[in-house]
Amino acid sequence: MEPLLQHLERFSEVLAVSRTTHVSTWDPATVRRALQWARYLRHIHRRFGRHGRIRTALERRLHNQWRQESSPGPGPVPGLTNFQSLGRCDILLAVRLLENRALGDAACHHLLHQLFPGPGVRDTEEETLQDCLARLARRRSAVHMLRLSGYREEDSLVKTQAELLLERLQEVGQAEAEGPSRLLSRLWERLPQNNFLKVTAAALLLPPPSTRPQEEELALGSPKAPGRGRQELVRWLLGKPDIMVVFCRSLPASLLASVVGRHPALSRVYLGLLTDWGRHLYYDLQKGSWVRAEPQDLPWEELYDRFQSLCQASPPLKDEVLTTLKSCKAQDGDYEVPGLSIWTDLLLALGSGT
Amino acid sequence: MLSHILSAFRFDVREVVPFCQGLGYTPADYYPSLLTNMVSSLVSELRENHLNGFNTQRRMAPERVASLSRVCVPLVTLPDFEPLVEALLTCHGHEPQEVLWPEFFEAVNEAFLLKKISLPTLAVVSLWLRHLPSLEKATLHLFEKLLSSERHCLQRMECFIKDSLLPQAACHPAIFRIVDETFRCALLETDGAPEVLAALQVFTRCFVEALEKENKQLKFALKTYFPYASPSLVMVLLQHPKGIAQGLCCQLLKCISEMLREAVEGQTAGSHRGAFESWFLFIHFGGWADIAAEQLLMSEAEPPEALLWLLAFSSSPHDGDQQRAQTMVEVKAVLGRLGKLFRSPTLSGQDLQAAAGEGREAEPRPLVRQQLTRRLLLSFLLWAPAGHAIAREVVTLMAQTEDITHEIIGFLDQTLYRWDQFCIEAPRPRKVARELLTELRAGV
Repeated sequence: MEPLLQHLERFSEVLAVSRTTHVSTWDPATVRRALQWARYLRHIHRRFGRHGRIRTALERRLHNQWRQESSPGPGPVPGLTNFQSLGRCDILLAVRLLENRALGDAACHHLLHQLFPGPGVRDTEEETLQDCLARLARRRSAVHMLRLSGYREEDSLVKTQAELLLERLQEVGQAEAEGPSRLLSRLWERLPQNNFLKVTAAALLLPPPSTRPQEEELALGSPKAPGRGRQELVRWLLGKPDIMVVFCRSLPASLLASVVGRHPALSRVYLGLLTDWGRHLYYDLQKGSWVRAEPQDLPWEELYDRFQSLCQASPPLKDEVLTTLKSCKAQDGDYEVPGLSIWTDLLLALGSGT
Repeated sequence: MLSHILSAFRFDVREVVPFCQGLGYTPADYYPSLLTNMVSSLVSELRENHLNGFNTQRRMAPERVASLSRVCVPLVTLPDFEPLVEALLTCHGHEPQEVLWPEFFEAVNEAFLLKKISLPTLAVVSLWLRHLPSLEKATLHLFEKLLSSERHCLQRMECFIKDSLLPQAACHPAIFRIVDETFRCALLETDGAPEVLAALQVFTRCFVEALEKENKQLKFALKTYFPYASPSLVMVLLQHPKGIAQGLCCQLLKCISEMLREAVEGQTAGSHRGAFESWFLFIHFGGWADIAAEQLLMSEAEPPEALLWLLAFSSSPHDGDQQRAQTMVEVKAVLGRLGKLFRSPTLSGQDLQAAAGEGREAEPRPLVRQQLTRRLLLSFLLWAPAGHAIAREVVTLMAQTEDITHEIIGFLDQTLYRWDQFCIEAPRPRKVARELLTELRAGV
């Protein structure tokens, strides 16, 4: 057991290094050895796939890397995240090395020769590796060709990231209850926030998975609980009021309206924030409009926009919004005249439907 | 090629890399998803085009569609791109002229012919309707396949033909006419080669089947498919002989014969083209000639003039009136002799030779009459109760040259195919035919 785990450790290190400039010191022999190690692990995967004890031990070791909350290092090794991934660690290694420009010429030639030996008798494993790599290369080229030709499809980028996020959340959540929150917090700290928020919103809006055919490469091996990843996401957001504020401030009004329409728990928080922000505005008699006290407050136009988008949603949400506005208006004194209560003015501006 | 692979691995989509890495995913994980999503997004943009036409924000401008088709040219064989290729082929914008690049059509057609891409029939038909060179190429590709390897095996011909999707596509008259024209040229060039005839018959069979299936949607008049023929003749020819009672069959044959004769010898008398066109139409549905032969053989009554004419005409459309009359007389004589022998309990090779009229004339008879006689003889061997005993012996005697052997093989194969198609039971004749066929094929 122990030698196996050690082997896994060592290979993880090799994988981690394979992305760095350190590979410039690698010679063909090193490359060959690294590939051999990868093949060995793949063999292990095949042999012990059904063997409970060994599989669990390996899986636990691999999942360990997700438990480190505040790891200062580069983070866990992408790709080697569960037992299933051992089945293709040779592809992982091969791709990382192929991507690495720092790999020396001799080592690179040797690598290519090992991966694409040309015609002749090949064992079936070699063939699968080669097919996988060729297919991956074609797909990557296809993506780049489309993007370079002007079909950037930014929506697809966000959607893909959202899908991956949900899959990972679900998987991590199954291994350990607190896993998802930890992961999300770490991502929030490390990644550009704007993109992260967009992806989160997209993830919350993804349709529930029906019978989507699973990609061969993404063999997670665990039964999908539809919506599980989304639940984790909502739970995390609800537990992080600061992040929720940024979420509701930065994203476009219509997007937010769709998101909270799908997730009632979030709509309550959103409405709460909106009413809070509304109270920060005061009526300027000279200008004849509602202005903000501090520059970081939400201006009238944006507040109105958000409420308008919400009112374009379907009944449960729309009714909730109107009820909230009306009760706020009542609290303020139920004025009908503009200029006294922001809620009155909002309702007036929103016009029909009240 | 290897440096291409390397460069493929060294580019990355910067926007997504940090996120995916943070999640622990590698390019091997996210590229497939990314590609699928990009393709889906493009497909829905195209479909918006198709459905709404105007007034949608997501509508793809024609130039964008055009350049997308160009980008796709090297990518058509990638399975992830199939939905996009399909969408490009089937979603028409509202432009009067063709928007897609010709190289795109060529690439898709090539991939389809080499079976590197699988597309729904509708998409392929759309491809051929929009790009004529692709249709021509596909037709020639089929011809090459049929005429090179699959001589004398109509079952396999049928497989190839159905696979090619041309019969289904031919439900569109425009496509049918092009394919038909190719057959016409092939027949003219090869002087009526039996392989081409056989291929045409099988193709027509598959076409009619496809037409019947499609009948709910497309309803083109028969005239659009066969513009030179009288619609009533086409209607009769299209009848499926399966399940038609004996007597009715004879009636139909007489009817066909009369209509053809009218077309050939009637107002367009002397017109060479008229004769050829009528013959060309008739041999699409070649099974009728064989049925006529069988009918004549097995009936004890006087052979009807009409059926004799039909046989003579189908074997040799260019004959003058006198020659044809001569042929009819001779066939009648052979039938008479064979008819006497039909119910004999025992037969010998010489009996049949005598019946066929061997050795009666000093000079060799015209090729066409020899062929006709052989056909009647073979039918006789298959159907006559005592025929199977001497079948081998007689066939061996007949198969003097390689050409004749091929002819006999072709006839037997065609007969078996026809019986299958028309669900004719005949267990004993089938058995005999199969045995003969196996033996002859082994010898060639």
